[in-house]
Amino acid sequence: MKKLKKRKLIAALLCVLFAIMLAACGGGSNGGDGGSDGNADAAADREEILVGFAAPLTGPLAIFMAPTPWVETLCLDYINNELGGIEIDGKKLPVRVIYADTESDSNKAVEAATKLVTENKVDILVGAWTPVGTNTVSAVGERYSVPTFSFGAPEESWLEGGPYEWSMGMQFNYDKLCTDVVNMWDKLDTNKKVGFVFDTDVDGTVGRETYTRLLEGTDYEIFDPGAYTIGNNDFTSMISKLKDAGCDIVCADMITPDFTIFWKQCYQYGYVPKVCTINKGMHYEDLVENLGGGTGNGLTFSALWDKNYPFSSSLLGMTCMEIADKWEAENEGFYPYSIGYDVAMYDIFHDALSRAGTLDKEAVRQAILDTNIDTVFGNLSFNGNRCMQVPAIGTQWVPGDKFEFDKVVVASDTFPAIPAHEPFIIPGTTQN
Amino acid sequence: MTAKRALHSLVPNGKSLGVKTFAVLVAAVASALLPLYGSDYAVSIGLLIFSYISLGQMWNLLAGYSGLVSLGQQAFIGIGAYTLAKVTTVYGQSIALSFFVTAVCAAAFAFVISFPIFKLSGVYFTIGTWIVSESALVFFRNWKFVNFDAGYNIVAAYKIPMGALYLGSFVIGVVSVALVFLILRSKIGLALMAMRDNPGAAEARGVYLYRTKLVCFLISSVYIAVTGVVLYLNIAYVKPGATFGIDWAVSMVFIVVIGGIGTIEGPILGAVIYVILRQYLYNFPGISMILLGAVAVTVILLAPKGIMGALHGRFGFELFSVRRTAAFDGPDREEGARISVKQRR
Repeated sequence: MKKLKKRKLIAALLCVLFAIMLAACGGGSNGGDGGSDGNADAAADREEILVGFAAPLTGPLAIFMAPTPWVETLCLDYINNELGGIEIDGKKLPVRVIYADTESDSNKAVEAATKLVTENKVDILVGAWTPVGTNTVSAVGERYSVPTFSFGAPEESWLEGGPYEWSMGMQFNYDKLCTDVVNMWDKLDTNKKVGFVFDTDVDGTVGRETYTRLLEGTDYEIFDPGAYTIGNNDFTSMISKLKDAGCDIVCADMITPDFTIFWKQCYQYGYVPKVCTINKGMHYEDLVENLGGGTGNGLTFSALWDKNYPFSSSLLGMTCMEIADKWEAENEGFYPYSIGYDVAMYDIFHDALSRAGTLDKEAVRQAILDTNIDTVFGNLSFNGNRCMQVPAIGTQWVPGDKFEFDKVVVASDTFPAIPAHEPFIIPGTTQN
Repeated sequence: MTAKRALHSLVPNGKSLGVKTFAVLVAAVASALLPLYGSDYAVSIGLLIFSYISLGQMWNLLAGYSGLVSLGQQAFIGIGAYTLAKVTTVYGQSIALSFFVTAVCAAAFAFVISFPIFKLSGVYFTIGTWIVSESALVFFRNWKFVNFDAGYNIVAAYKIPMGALYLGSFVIGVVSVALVFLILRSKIGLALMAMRDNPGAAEARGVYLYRTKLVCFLISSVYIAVTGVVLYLNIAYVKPGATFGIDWAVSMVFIVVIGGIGTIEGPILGAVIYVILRQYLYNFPGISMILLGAVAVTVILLAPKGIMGALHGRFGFELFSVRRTAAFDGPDREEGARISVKQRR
């Protein structure tokens, strides 16, 4: 009998708990602006402008977030303290960025972005770096009809999730990226035999298709030993095939650990090609340094942003060189190129929100779409696909003064405003 | 076993039938109507909770009741997600069709892999299922038919209203609970529990081990695949690493172990705790997984049978009774006697 009472008590307790949970759910809807119709009312007593950034703060993509929070401090301090905020409905409001960690995972990215939109009720949703960070967050933006800005993925991959109504992108065009890589090879004296080293990942798959298409009908001859799976630690059979085929050029799209092993094994097996273009894995100076023995000298890649770009941020009024130097003065190590994307984003947001003068979703979206502004990538405006194309141009690692390596632009035909130097063949090549 | 009989035997002695049935019904109705009064955030959380309840129930059906501890059920989430992507994004067909195709594909795959993995038992079965799902992951990454590792956006899912998605998830969650309840109240349920506790003795008493395990494995796998479709209608972006990821298995284990393995209420409570906890853990990037692990370890130390297991052990509390012992002294005496005779045969 006593046991029965206790059971009833627990049942009643669970009912009460459930009721409290439901009440909490209902309360949430009153607190927020609920939907698009309540938006204007809510804006009147808003204290700040909220930007929600579903960002890969942890996991393999976290390297892209290296400038955070340095770049936020730089840009938001300027907007909120120097300029006193952005004028919305006649009142200057500060901008605040809320982060949610995607853990570099596509499932988590959707959950994080959904949380930012539904719980934090952000005015602009941001997703970044690779299709895992951009296509997912853009999908959330479309579902909830929130102005969404994403950057750092190939335009082609990003557009596969479209057509978009609420999502806008600042992406590099993969076709242009590959075109400049080929332009870079054109400047060098080789036998024009290109060996592919691609993984089965998105970039590898798209890379293989794009280069094959671009090189069709040219003097270049492709040798493809087949794709490998990420995480491979023995490339010897692949290297011997490339060596036997006599490839002067290696065209690779590999993650850092894979390339580090590959490049070491190339030297071990006496195969040093004249040209090695490595995308994705060798974008950072310390990674090139870690290859050891100066073997990084002469490697080529597609830089996504460089301090030698002759542009400046319209928000900060600083040139690319000044921004990179400021980073290197205040932090340890070579500047990360992702600073360029972050600064450009704040250039665009500050400009668009100032022009919109309201937090109404449709007005904010239209203001962003109307962007035509000078940034650290040069002048940016949207194309018909709701995408701003930013440069991804041929660059080479060369011996540096301040650090062991420095990078130099060597082919910028797709963005001619950026000056380019002459590339050179990898020193100590075994291909004659 | 009809639904009516199952409901009647919810509490065999009939003493507290009113309060519990009423509480369950109120909770179900209130949850179903959540999109009408809840905020967008509450609806998105509710959606996750019901999907995870379904995953938890189905994993519990295997591990908690059949003794089949699988770490490979995420393979079926992957099959569901990719079928949805192929049917809608690539072939431009309806979402409804993708549910049907998913069920067929998942059943076929589960049937085929059952031959090798059912030859394994205990921890070897666990390792075997894990290898199957990891192999599926590698295979999908290298399979041209599914666009290698590039994945697909499920564009058709963008414009489904959240209310509708939530209802889909609600139905999948509630049906999973009902399904497991009905299975356990049926002859298969008795066979399952006998098998879990002592396979040798069960077989000697006339339980077909292989067939019973297979039925359970098929039901669980197909249902998880269908849940995968619902989950990816919400996520709207499929990629092999995410759809076949071990994370899904980890969440299923967490939900069942925390909530209470071998109980029907356990996965429900586990799913609620897991989803809400994850929302709070967004505030702790970098250490969120450590905190989640710490919670799991703490609960296992304090309540080895999970929260519902502990409640049941201490107070005898349960919402959905699947035990038959009470039938012998209640109005169902005859039925109880009949079942026990059947089992003896």
